[in-house]
Amino acid sequence: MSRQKLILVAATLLGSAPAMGASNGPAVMPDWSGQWENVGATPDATGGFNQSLNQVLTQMQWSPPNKPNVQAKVDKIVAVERKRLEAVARGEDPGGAVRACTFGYPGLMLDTPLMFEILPTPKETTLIFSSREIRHVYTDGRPHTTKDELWATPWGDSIGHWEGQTLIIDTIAVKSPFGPESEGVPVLAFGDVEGEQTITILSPQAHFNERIRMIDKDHLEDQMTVIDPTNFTGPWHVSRTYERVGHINRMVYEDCEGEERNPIVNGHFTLAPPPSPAQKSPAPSAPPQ
Amino acid sequence: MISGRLAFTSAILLCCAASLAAQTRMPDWSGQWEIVGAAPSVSGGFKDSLDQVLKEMQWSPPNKPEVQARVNVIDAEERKRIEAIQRGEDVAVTGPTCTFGFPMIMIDSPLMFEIVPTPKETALIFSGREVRHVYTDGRAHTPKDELWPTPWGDSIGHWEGETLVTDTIAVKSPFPDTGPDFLPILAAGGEAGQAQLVSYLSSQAHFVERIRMVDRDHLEDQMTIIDPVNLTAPWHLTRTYRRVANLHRMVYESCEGDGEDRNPIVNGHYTIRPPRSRATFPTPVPADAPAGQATAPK
Repeated sequence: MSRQKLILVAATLLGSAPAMGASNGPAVMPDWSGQWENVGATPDATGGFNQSLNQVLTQMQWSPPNKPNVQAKVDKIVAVERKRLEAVARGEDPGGAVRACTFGYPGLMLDTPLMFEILPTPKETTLIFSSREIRHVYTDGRPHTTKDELWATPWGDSIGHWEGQTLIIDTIAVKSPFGPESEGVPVLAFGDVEGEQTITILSPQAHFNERIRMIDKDHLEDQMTVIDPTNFTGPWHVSRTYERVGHINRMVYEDCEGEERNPIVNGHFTLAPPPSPAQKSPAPSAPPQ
Repeated sequence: MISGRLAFTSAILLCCAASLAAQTRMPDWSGQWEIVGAAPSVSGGFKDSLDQVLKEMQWSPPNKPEVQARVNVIDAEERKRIEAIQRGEDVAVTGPTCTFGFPMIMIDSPLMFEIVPTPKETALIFSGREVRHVYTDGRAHTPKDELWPTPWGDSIGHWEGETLVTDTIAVKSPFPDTGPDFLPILAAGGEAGQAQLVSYLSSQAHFVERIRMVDRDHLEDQMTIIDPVNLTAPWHLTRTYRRVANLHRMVYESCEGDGEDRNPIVNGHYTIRPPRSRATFPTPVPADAPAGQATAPK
């Protein structure tokens, strides 16, 4: 009995140790300044994606351990999505295309054509995306928001701590930006001009762990584990790499009212100023090949 | 000539030394902040009356005579419209305002915000999902061929000790129907959220701010607006921000149409109000409310 109590106390102390040590952050905060983009998710000049949906499905290594009932639901949705994509390929307009300016989490980290900044400070790290979506990761040692003050949002409730120069994030209370909380959170792969495929659907109980670190001066890595006992047979491990945006050194927000301010030319983000009254559609400046 | 060069070199060294010092120790401005005198009331309007705001917030723009004349005309029309609304003869156009733009978000908006200082950039993040990016890595303003006006402008800055000095250009109105050369500065107050035009700035307006912590619960922003087109002289104004007492995380406004306030003011304090879709809908109670107090907002 007393040994069990000792083990419990030791486990509690071990569990708290990183958080306590991390409340002031690492001795030197990492320099993750600049703009970042998701490798493999860069949009092309048409407003679609640089890579085909098949490439994205192969290269992004989607492998969610869906429960059979979830997989059956996903398969039905994918069949509808494929028909839509075939209609687009035939030059037909299947309708339903919308300009997405709220991707929500975890889509933001997994497969979006947005650029983003990460600003680490000892008590909080913010991730700011060009769709004006912001993740706040509090690293001041606090627990998650208490249940009576917590509700699901497209970005969830995130706390974290530092292990050396690696940011560890724990996220709960995520809802889809596209529908009610009860329908869960769809995770989508994007490719081609209007291609999308549902990979899985997470339940409102999904819980996310991330380990974000710099792997070299131009690349960050996010090792994400999604725990969802309602919809998964086991934890889902997925890894994403972010590369430094080569030709832009400031945040340029999407114009969610219709125009794109940073179209891709020759595979790189470019700047497209809004048309002035005298100049209706300026061509984006082409970056070096 | 040589002394001129030496002075120039010294200036560069002083500038860089200050910048390096800032990189080693950033100020801790963590937490949520609100503008003193601009807190919203529980009705969704402003806690202070418009007259109070006009008096206490010390608006004194040195408007050029022709600018002041236009401001007077617009305010007179707006007053007539408000009177017509009060008589039930006009329909008030209301809706969640989620884009205030700069400089209003620093001068008179009911939004809470966070400031995130890092050595190369400081971000100011507002609960309307507006973000100001102040780059402090020594860069110049964005070159003209890549610059266009936005509601938040193009901001660079540097640190002088623990004071963030920002420089902002290329600001445009967040309201689409105001035109490219009309950046309205509004004082807002009263339960109905009445607004009065105080000045309007041209597209050449240039903003310098000195933001510092004056005590552990207050920040100060000394702003200077230089607009040779519309102002007779630089306009100096100061705003104080206080720590939001009852919240310790960012709570975003719901701007997508349900029109609900996620952080209504109760008894003068921000509170938390979860969305209605939840099974339970706890009425917000400020932390300093007496135990067992009825939850009806005052």
